[in-house]
Amino acid sequence: MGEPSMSARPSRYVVSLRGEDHDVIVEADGGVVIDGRRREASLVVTSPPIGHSLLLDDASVPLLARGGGRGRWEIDLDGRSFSAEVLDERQAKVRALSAISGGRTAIAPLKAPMPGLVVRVGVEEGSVVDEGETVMIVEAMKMENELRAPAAARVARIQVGAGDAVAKGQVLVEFGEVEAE
Amino acid sequence: MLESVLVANRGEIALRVIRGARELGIRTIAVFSEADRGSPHVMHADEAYCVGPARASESYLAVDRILDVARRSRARAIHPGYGFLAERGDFAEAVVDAGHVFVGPSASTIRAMGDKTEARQRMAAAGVRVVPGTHTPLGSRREARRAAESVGFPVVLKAAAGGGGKGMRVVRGVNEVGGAFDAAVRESEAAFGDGSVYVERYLERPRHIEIQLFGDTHGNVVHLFERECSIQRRHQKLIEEAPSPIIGPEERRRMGAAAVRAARAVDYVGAGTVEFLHAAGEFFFLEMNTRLQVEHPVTELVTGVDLVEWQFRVASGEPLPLRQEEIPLRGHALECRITSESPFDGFLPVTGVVDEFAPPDGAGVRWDGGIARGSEIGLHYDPLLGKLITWAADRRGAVQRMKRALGELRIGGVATSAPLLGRIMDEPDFREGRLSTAYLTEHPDLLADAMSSEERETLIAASALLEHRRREERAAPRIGGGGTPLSDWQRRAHG
Repeated sequence: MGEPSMSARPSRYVVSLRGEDHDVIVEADGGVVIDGRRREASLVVTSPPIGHSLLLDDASVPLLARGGGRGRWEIDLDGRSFSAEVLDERQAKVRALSAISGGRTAIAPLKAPMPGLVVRVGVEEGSVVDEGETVMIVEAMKMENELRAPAAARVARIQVGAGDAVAKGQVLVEFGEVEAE
Repeated sequence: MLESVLVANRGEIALRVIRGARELGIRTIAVFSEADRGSPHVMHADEAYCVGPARASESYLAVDRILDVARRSRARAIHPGYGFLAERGDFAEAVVDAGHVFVGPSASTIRAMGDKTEARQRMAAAGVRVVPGTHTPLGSRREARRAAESVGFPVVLKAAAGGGGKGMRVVRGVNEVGGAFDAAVRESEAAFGDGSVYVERYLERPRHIEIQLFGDTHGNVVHLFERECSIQRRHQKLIEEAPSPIIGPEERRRMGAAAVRAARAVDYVGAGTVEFLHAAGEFFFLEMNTRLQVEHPVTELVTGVDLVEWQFRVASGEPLPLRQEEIPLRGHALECRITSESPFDGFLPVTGVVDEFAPPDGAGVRWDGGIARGSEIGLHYDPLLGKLITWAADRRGAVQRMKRALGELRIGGVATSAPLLGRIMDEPDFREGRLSTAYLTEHPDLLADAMSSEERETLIAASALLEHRRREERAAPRIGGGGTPLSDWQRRAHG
């Protein structure tokens, strides 16, 4: 245990960030190679457990990092929060294979972005909505928030009604595709 | 001086008032809901009493429970902060009837100014110009439509009992009036328990400039100059400053005199604010707030006056400590409101637990907050987490200092308005003082959820290093010594 050889070996990862994959090599001597470009990097914990300091080349960057398991990391940079997924080469291959066997992606259902109270539902099942059209109004912190359709779609199923309390992430409306004319 | 005060509020303003009271040797009594048991305002007070469940109507708005705590704790005075019960005439009256001192104006003043339609009538009578519109509440959609047409579009529907943008709707055409009227009534009913709505002309791209007032029980009224609060979103202020970048000495004197006239018209006692809309070189009375404002610290920094101290002195029957000509105006102050809203995601309110918190410090920086690491941010209360305030000799210096301070602020676990505010500090129109209430809609690029290539590389490098170390730690949990990056990290993490 603890042999220097453990970390002397460079490790290869695939980092997914905002839907894009990047090849990363973490070298034993403090370098990271991102998509073929090498940079000096050092990361230390400054305020346990989540406060970190990153030196990337000479740039000093404070950040907050939380591990979500299975290679998922949530990182706050300059007050903004980002999610990244880090897979090793073997895991990345498995994922690539399963993606090929998957089908077309459906239109994502409308989920409650925050807990709140449904004030009004502006559509009916079967109606067709344009991208950005207001689907329902949810009140939170005494402000009304308009929730809009993520894409042009047919309203397949409405799961809530006016007066319902909804939890964050709860599915409110499911969509189907609009049939071509 | 008062012996004791019950602070009928929570969050940053409860903390602000408790601090001011403690500095005067006043015994402080906090009230808290079940959700706020571990909140900073509870820990900073001498005594603290639970007044009910998280829901505000059963705790911070429960007049009987708060008065019961005042009786049991033998509180001499009650300070309402802002929001909640601060502008409820019935509360001020009940406080006085129960034998306590209300830190604020009389119930009749609160009622007169709290009813925005009556306030407009009183101000017009006192010779203060008001925005054209109705002086009485609207009874129906039809009446709203008629009134809107006679005022001329665009118009704004407003809650008569309102403030803070709740129950407010801008309407640009006659066929939008009905829906907007219903929404405004609904929202103001929910927020204030009163669905009265009136209409006034909507001024395009005005500046929001307000005058801080103070009156005492000896008939003295002074103003403490203006604040500009033009950077807003949906009528919620984001950034405030003092003085305004466009107000010169002559206009400052005229606006101050109008505000003092407004205060005298209602026998004003205590801290108050007259809000004006400023457009094309003219200013119109908007409303009068009969309480301490969220943005009061910018006035404190440019005048050197502790407004909470003055509130307590006036409530004790003392005369105002300074005459008008003795109040100085020095330098420039800025305030940024740090709220639990996600600015790059349509300002959606966010919830969560604050898992990291470090306020900025250093020269010229003040943090008025109500959160700590571990605070749970829910949906029961206002999303204001704290206020970051900077002072410098001039506006440019205050903006630079704010930029620096925002960069130091660390709040983890909930998204906040801070990154947007940092972008605004760099934006040329803001830096040059070209402000209006339409600023954010005219600068949509500030709200874009873009990621720079350097940010991307930073995130990729950080996540790869984090995952790499997690795996190595798991494989060899007791690696130590030797000066490798790994051992350095572990020593800091566990040392």
